[in-house]
Amino acid sequence: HAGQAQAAPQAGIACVDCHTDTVNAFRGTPHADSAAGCEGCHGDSKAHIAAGGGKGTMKNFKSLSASEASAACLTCHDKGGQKHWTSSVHDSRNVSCITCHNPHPKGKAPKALLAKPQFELCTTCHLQKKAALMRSSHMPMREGKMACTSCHNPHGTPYPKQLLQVSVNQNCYSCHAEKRGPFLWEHAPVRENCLNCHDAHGTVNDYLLKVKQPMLCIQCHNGFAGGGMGNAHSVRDRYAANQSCMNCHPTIHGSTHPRGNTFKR
Amino acid sequence: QDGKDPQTTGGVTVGAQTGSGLKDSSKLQEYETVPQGVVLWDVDLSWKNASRYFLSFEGSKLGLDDQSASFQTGQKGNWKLNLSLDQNLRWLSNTAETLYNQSSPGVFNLPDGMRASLQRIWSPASTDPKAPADSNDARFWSVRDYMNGAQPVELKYIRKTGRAALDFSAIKDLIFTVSYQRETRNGTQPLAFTAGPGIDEVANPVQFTTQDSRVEVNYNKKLYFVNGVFAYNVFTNDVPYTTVDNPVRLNNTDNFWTATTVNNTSANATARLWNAPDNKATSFDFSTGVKLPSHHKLTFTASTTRMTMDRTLIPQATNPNLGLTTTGFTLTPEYPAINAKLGQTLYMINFSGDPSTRFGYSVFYRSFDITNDKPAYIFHSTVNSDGGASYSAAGITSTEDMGGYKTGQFKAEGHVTLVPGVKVGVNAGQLKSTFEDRMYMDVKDNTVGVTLDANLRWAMFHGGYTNLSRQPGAIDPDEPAEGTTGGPLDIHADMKDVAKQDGKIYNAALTLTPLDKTALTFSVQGVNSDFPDVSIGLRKSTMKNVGLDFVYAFTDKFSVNAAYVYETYHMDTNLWYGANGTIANPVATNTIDQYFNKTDDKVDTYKVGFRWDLLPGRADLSTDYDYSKGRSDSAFTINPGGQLGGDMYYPTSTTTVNFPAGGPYLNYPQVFNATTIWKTRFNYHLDKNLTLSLMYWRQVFDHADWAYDTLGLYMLPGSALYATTPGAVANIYPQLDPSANRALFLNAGVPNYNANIFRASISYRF
Repeated sequence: HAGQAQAAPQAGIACVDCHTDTVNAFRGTPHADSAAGCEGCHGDSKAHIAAGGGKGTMKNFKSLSASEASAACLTCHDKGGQKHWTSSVHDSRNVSCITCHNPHPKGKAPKALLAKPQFELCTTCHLQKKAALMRSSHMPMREGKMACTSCHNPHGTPYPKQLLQVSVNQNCYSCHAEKRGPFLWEHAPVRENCLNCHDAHGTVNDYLLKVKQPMLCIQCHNGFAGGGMGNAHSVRDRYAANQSCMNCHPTIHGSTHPRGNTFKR
Repeated sequence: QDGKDPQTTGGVTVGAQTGSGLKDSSKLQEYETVPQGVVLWDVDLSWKNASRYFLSFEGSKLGLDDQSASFQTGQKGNWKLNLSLDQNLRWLSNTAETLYNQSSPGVFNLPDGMRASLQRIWSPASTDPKAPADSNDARFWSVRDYMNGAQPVELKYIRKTGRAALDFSAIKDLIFTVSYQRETRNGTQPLAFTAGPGIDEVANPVQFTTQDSRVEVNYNKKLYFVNGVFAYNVFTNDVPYTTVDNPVRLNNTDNFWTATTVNNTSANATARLWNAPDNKATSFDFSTGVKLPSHHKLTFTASTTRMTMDRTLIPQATNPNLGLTTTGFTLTPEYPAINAKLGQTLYMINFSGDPSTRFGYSVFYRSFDITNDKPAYIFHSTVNSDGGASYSAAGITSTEDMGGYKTGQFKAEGHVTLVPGVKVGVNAGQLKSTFEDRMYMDVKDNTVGVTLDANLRWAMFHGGYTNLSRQPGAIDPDEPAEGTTGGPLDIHADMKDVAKQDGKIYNAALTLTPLDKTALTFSVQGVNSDFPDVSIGLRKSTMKNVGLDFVYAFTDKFSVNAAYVYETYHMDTNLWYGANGTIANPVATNTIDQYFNKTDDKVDTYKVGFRWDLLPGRADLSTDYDYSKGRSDSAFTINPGGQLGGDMYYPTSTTTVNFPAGGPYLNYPQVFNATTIWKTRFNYHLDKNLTLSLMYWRQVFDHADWAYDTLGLYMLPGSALYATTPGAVANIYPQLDPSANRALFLNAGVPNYNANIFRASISYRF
């Protein structure tokens, strides 16, 4: 790419007379550093110029299918974070690069040329995630301290739900390393998937719990042998208040105490 | 600045903010600082020259708890150095207070005088001449007095993440990235515990450090790529143990456990809680891919992670409680330390392609395996909760296979473009999970699904439907049988409940754009799951939501938007939750849905706003009003009678049903929490460099929670629910007095708030 910086101001010089606003917007983007200029994406301009403009003489992305539009971008962007784009969920569901990115933004070029701020962009389709993040217990996304891409790569990964890490738990451990263990006493549902108990996008319960305690725990631990959840674990008594089951079983994510088999220590 | 060399750009935004209600609740500032006074909101500076060297700096809310800053420099295409600092806060409660003194991190002491007085509250107060006399309110009055003497304590921690990363290209197409990240978390968080019959809670120290070092190599060619990442991650906790001064003696006789009152104020017993242990993880990830002719592509990914934890055991002799009853105890631990290891392996192969403009496909197989390599431990002698002595002749065994499992997933997907812009896909797959310590040796999830995606000029549609059938395999002969210790009805219940499942998963979003100036989106999504093999636990769960989003542009200058989403979350459990004191020996019985509990969560979310370019390029006004109200309601329906047998385990098989008259027997009072966020912004561009911004921000939090707010009925003298008979089982209730309870439970509430915030700022860009 050496020497391309000098070419940058010239990018689109043949196009600017007609497409003034578009080219000027383009010149403020990282793509302007490319020597290919407008033709890098839209193809050879000779026929277009010879015809005095008009549709059909150059590649117009609005008339391309999703996969055709993405193919133009993948000419360069098929590495790094985009290397798993082909056959990713978005690719196979008719979402293209220009669904989310705008190569000709108005004003200051946003990061990654996103068509909208990231949260607004993703929740255009994922409405239920927008609603979840409005709940009282939520990830700090509406405060701007996290983004969808903190956990997901929308361009595809080899992992479930386009996660950045190999599993849900591994994703969570990247911030919550204290939950990683391993522990002397493992709580199997915890080790298997954090989402067994939590909904990472937001819930109406404390600590992103899917269901309020103690109801969450008794989905599995209900009426166990020897008297079960009767007097010892009664509704409305001290065991149900505040953090409920975790009043007495605080190490529910795993314990390293020799007597920690019931997660009390 | 086209044509200038070097190019320098930047900006700064400063302003002032004031308002009311900002300090009323930690909830407003749970994740972000909302300061008052003059604030440097943002600053940025970037520089680059024709030789492609660059420098940039960005800072936000510098000096505040949630500040962030980053600095980058390098030569584009050759190397880049990135330094960053990012802070997150987590404010859990601004009302907490505690009776304890903390002599050093994690060591909580209670003054003897306070301890003795607290004991008298629970040693039947009506007969204790030393107790402060108030026979009209025998249970709580003293604790309320102590609340006045409690010390405020902060429940808040701050996460600081510093990162340094260097990217450089050694040779063409080969890029190295070396990075180091150090993250600290410091502060406190609530920790509840029991050390005998009572429950207590302390503001436990958080002194965590996580260090992550990694090296990444990327080699990219036109037809193939190779990527490798090696990472070493270390977590350390500077407060491995928390010791609490004699919490047992804060309680009197326990009405259920029938323990005797502990009046000995001179004994020096402590409770020891083991905090999150230090741990390490080493991982290596590898990916490679090759492009084949006709748009076929083959990728392979492998990942291996080794997680380890070593912890030195504390000699039991260090627990002074053993001085009371050393008989039968081995005071030297059998193991000076414990060691746990987990090995995690993933590999995946994916073959995909778009051989024609009409057809595409992908086929993948993914294997994920967690093996527990921890050796088995048998603890013949231990200290029960580190609070009182106990001895187990049989020993407590930690087996070596706990928590291990593996999955293998195969999935094939194909899609056809029927007409331009309309794509139909079908998929089928199987996820097989094999467990080391579950009742069933394996469980298979078979899925079949269809998708429809359409991008038309006036409409866009994305929809999908998947049918899930989960089938359990053979019963593991090494696992305890149902109804025995360790079996499905034990606290370590094997997950028979979720071993068989029929699920239906669907989603659809339709966006209509009949006119350039309007867009209307309908969306629906849901999961219906039945668990037909339930003996205990979860029987059915249903989640669904419907949404509507609307945008309309009256003119180029003015547009409005609105949205509404309604969500429900429902769960049925095929057993009951016993009512305290209603039955002497709770019996789990039936079956034909006569005993179940249910949970219903519902959320309404509204959004409305507008954008108005008052003076294009000069002035704009916008507003966004968001409101979300969630509520959680749980009910327990218990009918008398019932039938023996069925698919429900009978713990004793002899006791008859003795529930009182039918239900719904108990309802948790509804919990709700409502959040309103309303922001109105006005921007006026004084010139091309200067912008004046005004913002009015109203945020309201309104909630009620039975765990805190509705227990008073059980505490108020005169209430039919108020228990007054000492020794009765129902007298457990009074310990939940909102005052008394919160004193011992840190009073860690989250108050409602109604904040009105005004901000004025000016931005200068060059």
